[in-house]
Amino acid sequence: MNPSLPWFQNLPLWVTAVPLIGALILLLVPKEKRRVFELGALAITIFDFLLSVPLWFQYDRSTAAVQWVTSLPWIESLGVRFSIGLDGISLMLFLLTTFIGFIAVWCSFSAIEERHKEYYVWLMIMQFSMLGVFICQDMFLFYLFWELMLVPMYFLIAIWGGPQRLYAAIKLFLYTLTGSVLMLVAILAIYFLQYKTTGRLDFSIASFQAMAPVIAAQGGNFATLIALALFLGFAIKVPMFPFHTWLPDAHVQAPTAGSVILAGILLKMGTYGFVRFLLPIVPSATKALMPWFLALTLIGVIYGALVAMIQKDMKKLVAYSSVSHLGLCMLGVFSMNPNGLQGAIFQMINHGISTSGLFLIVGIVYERRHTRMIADFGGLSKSMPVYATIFMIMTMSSIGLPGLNGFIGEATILMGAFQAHPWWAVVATTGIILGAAYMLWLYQRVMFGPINETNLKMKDLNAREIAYFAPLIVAAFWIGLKPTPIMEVLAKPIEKLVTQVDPSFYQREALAKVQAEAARVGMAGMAAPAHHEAESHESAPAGEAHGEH
Amino acid sequence: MILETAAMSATTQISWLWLIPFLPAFGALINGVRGLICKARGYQAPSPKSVDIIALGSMGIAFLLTVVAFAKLFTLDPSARSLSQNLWTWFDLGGAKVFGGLTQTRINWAYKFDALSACMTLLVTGVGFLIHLFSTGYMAEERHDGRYYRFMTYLNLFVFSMLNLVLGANIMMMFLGWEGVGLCSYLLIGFYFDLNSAAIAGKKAFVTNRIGDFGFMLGFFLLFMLYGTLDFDTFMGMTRHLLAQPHITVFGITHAPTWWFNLIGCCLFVGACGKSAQIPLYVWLPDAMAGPTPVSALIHAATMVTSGLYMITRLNFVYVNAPVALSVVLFVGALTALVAASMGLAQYDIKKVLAYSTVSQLGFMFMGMGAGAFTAGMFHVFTHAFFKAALFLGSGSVIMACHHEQDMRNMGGLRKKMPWTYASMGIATLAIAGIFPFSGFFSKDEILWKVFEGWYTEGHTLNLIAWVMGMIGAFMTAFYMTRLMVMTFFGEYRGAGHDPYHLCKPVEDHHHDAHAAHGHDDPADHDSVHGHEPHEVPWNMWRPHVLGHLHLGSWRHGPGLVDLQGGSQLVQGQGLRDPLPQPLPLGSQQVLCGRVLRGGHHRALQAAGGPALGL
Repeated sequence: MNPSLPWFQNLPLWVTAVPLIGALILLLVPKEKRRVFELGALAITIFDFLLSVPLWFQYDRSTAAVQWVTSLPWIESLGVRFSIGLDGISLMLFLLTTFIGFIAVWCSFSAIEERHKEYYVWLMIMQFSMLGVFICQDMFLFYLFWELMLVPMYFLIAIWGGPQRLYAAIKLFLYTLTGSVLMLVAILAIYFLQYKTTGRLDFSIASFQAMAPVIAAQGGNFATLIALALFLGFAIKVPMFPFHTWLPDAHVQAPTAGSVILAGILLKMGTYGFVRFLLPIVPSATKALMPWFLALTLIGVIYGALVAMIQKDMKKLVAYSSVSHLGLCMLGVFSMNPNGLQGAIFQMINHGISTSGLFLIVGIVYERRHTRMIADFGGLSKSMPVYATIFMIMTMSSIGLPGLNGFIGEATILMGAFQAHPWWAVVATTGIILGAAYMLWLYQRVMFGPINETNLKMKDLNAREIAYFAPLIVAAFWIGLKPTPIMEVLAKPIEKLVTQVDPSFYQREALAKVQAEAARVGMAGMAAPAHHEAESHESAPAGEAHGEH
Repeated sequence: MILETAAMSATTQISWLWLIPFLPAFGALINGVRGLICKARGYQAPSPKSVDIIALGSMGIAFLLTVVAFAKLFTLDPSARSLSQNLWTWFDLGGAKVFGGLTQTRINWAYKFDALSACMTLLVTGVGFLIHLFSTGYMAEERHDGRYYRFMTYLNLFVFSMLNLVLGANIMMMFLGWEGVGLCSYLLIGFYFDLNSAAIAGKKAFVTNRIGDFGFMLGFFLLFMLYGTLDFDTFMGMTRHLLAQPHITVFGITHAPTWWFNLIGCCLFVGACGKSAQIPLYVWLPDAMAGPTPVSALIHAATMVTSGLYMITRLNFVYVNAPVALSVVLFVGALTALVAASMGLAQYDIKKVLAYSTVSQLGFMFMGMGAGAFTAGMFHVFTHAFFKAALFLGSGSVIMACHHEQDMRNMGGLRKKMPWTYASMGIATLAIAGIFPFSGFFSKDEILWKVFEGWYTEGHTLNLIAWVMGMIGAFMTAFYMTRLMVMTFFGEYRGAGHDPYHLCKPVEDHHHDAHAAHGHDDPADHDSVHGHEPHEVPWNMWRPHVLGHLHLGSWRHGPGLVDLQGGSQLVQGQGLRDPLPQPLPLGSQQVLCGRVLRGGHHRALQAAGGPALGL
């Protein structure tokens, strides 16, 4: 464990605080000054992003430990501490948040026509709370940020949304609040169990994770109930089938920036929760419930894709594609091996890039035509060639063309899932065919075909729009062509996570090394041992999972 | 795992191999970005001349580099004829739990240039260059309406993807190219995107290919589970170990190695069916003719559609050990050869005839592969690429000369007006029909002979059935091609009842440069001096298809090229069909040279070669 830093030297803390400070400053500006809010918010978020970039270089890739740790006493009677820090997994999502943050602000300049002051202040608070979720190392704090996040999102949709914004906002609020309450129940149950068994009052994530064997040893259905409560809490946020219905409504009604944040980061909270809490805290119960979880995941992949295919509204189509993509992400999480988890985190990042990009793309035609109906468009390639190119890149990134970011996530997830659950993986692979079908059909109907008079007059992207797409495209190509730097950041934390889930997983590595050595000496020698070991592994997992706890 | 230990087949590192695929990529990037900048700022599109220089220049240099690399290959020891370059680590598949333990696999962005890749690379850059050249003439109308740069960008991007496919040193690189060519095919089929039919055909091609990719992905996942790597060189070294196992357990399922190889072979073949348009996934190829004709020639005849065959040849170590998978390949190939040929009989659209012909010829290639004769199959890939490209380019010239008329019922009598095109297409027709001494005879006869031999010497009934189907298909090939030639070039002109010299107005004199070509739709030209004279398309359109007849010489050298793979590529397997004796005997050539190795072949050749000669 790295030594605790004084709070004022803690860079991630400052990165988190900058949007909050920015929001306070923006509050002082008179509300008529639209330009000040726009440029001010952009300056704050870009500064925030630049401030977070050094974290990438400072991060020590050789350890799984939480870094930039600051832990201050807060509510001592309950054992709550102000405890923050980042490991590789949260670092990547933290950076994704600062990255998407300034793009979300930038794309709002032309989309938001009223109440600018409130809008940008809420956006800053949103950014602050999302960064807070990833940075905190204390369950109490985590829950606070988790709930705080909901408030700005509610207002962003309810004030600046489409015609049915109130319905969508309330639905979002109720759904996610239900999930949060269930999660709170689980947190408190573990907290009190911890107090009962160890006498400690401690909300830190590490101590919660350390409770895993104790929870598993509890009688009755305790572990299963905890797993279900956490699962529901996070599954609603992801959202997984059948808890996804709030998502299309929220997306369709939200302003473009709201959708970008929602798709880019907010949904990642759910998958992050699975990785951070469900797997390490209740691994054995998760394994026991796995068939159910996998079934929901796979239904999400296929159902999301099928429903996306028949949508008439571009934004709703992209929203359902999110359901499908995040289903794939969950498949990676539930394969619980290094490939699958690594792929899942890549999928979170990739989904943040490509789906945000697609929402921006929808936002651009919406601003120009004030409609999102696919039938209203057609042949836009003719009037908007730059837009067509960017749309094509984002489409390809979304359907996982090798060389772009989506592929890395999909390929590693499917590789991982194939090792753990081959039949489920085969089914999930069909989702990729459907992905190509609905995205290309969308592209064909919007961009190809004959063009009408109105659409012929549509203006191509302006400099600002190209400027906010550029970082997304660079990121898409970077991850697609050379993702290894990110993989290095993720490697150790994932190794730790896999060990938490399956302590015997890496014991096989030693075996592999012996085999490799044997094979180097004489190839014939390795044939038999390789075979026998492989066989014993295959029969082992079920027994191991239950036997160890 | 076992990775490092696998026999690293000797390979020579060279530092400039990356230029071959990346030059076209740079061409695409430069042209694409220039074009987009012009569009974004509202300037005039980049001048067609400069687009040509960049696109053709990058292709030309890539071709020359391929030739240099090819020459360098010959300076190496025959057992180590392989050049490679490792660019960077693409991504990490470490920590995967596969058969035999945990992997430490990293997927590299690496290229490998061995005999097999060399053949394909020569084909892609060589035929690719010619088709780029042809496009400068064919796309004459587009040269002036700002779409031209886009076409050349896509073509270059396609060549980049195709080169990744054939040069990639591991399956992931191959898959990168595999999907990349799918994308470019989508973009190029839908090049005239304002036509709904073109846009829909593009989407259909991509989605059908994705269905194939589903099988391909399952195939390489399974390979990964067995080998713990995706690297071609390592596969080679490890296959023997896997075969030595009494049985292999993956996913808790225990089976003999052959069972696993059969499964993998079948999965991968689904991918090959998608890309190479075999039954039941052939449906996209006829529709793909909605694209411009050079695209049909380059992508849907010469290069992309052969990637399924390339993949099977590259992964021959799977197939020679997978008798059931090979039988599937053989039967599906024979069925496609027959059914597609019969479909070709009834088409009126000149490009559709060629499209079904391509499907049918691909079926022949798969038949060859299915009979275990990878070399014969690849040889047909090679010869087919040339004569089919020549046919497509010829049909492009015809279509252009007839004002984008594609219906053969409205053609006829073009022989006198388009002598170069007629001669070129005539030769290519003889070649595809399998007439001695054109290349198609040697390759197709070789395949049919190999299939027949499988029955004659080893008694596989399926081979006999496939051979009969193939023979009927070969007859049909000759028939529909003759029909095409007769309907197009002989008789009287039937175009809409008008004076052929007016309607089927020939393009300018071939001494003119490409700019002359664009005027051919202009009615005013009717009165020009050349208006009533029979004319040929400009040089940059006919010369590529004449150059396309390089295949005439290939009957002697072609098999030699493909033969190179014999030594380094093919793993001796345990399949029912004895895989590939070395050097590979080539049936018809032996007849010509009076060398017949085994007595049984005499009668096989009388049976198989005789009718083929007759065709």
